[in-house]
Amino acid sequence: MTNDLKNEIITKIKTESLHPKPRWQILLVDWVWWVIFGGAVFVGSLVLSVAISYLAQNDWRLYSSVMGLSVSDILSSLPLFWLVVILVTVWLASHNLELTRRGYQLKTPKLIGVILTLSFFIGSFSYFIGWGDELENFSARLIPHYQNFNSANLKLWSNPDKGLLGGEIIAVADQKNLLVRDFNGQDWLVIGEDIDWLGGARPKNGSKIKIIGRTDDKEGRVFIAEVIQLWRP
Amino acid sequence: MSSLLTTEVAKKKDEDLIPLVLANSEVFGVIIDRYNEALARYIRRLTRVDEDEIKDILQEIFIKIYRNLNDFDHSLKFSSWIYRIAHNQVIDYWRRSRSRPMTAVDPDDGFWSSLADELDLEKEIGRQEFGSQVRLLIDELSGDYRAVIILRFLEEKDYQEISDIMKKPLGTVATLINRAKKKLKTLAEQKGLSNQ
Repeated sequence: MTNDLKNEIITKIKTESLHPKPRWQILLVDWVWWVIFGGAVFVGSLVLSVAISYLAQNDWRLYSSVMGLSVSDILSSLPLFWLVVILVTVWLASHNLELTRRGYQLKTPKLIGVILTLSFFIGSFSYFIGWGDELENFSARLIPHYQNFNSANLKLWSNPDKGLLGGEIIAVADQKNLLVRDFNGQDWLVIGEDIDWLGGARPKNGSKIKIIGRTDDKEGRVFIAEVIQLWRP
Repeated sequence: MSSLLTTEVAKKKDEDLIPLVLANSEVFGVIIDRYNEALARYIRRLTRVDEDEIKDILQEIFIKIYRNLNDFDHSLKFSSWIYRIAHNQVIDYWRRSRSRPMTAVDPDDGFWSSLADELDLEKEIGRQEFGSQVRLLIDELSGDYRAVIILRFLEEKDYQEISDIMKKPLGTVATLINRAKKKLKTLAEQKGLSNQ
């Protein structure tokens, strides 16, 4: 069989004018996989910066001072939408790295570790230069039903009966008397004799705030505040 | 090619032949001569196809090798690279033909003793019958498991070579081999071939 097969192959190469693919073409395909890998890591990093921006809106110190919150309430304040997107970009990055000429040699856990480390550093940098906040605002405008995906934090702070109220200051009498519009569009009179303004914050119109306290049993939509903090500490 | 040139060319290592093939396609015949039998045997071991089909698959493999010569990564063994192309081509063939591959393994291979020892399988029945029994067991393994068993125990490739052929990390190769052996052992026990 050998000689017949050899002759057939050589003849086929000659008659069909077959040629080895040029090296630049082969390298180009490899570079495409590297570019997609890099793109996926970059997108994942930007998504991570948005997630950091989202998490930064939480003040974990406040959670420790709130009684009666379930674990699911606290877990629900995590940016689940963005975490899912990060998982997708990590998968895309690792899949493309495995397609490169030598990427398959990396063990999967190491591969994912490299991707997550890169994403973490680039993502953190992006957050600190303000891209995280910009992207979150951009996403809220662009992505349909974004508020439904990522509104867990808003929902958490729309529980006046549980002592949690969030919203925007629309009028200020003094530090003990404010008018606040909550995330459902309802206005609340927020009062308190000894309100602890965390972080030295001062009330001003337009500021978004989180308030811990209780509703007044006698008066409707009056909230007696104990602790107030800016929405983004 | 002149006979003197042929002699000189035949002495060269595989990797050193590549620039010669790029200059003169006839030199590719040397590579075909070197790997034809080994690859035919590998195809026969992975699939139970007839000789005509083996010839067709081999032709596809060598054409693909020729077309991708500039893709050879010098950090790999040339044989690993060629086996990788062969392996992928066989998988493509399975997908196209949609036939369930059978394993046509020579029962006189020393494979049986080494595998039997590894798996602690029954050896007291006749060697030929044992061979066909184990062949059926391998038949029941899925693609990757079958490939690693054949590459490790018949082709006697080391873990690094298998990693390069199948384009999987070393750790994954080791895991696949362990799982394939366990699966074979389970199948052997179910069919009453095991000592246990």
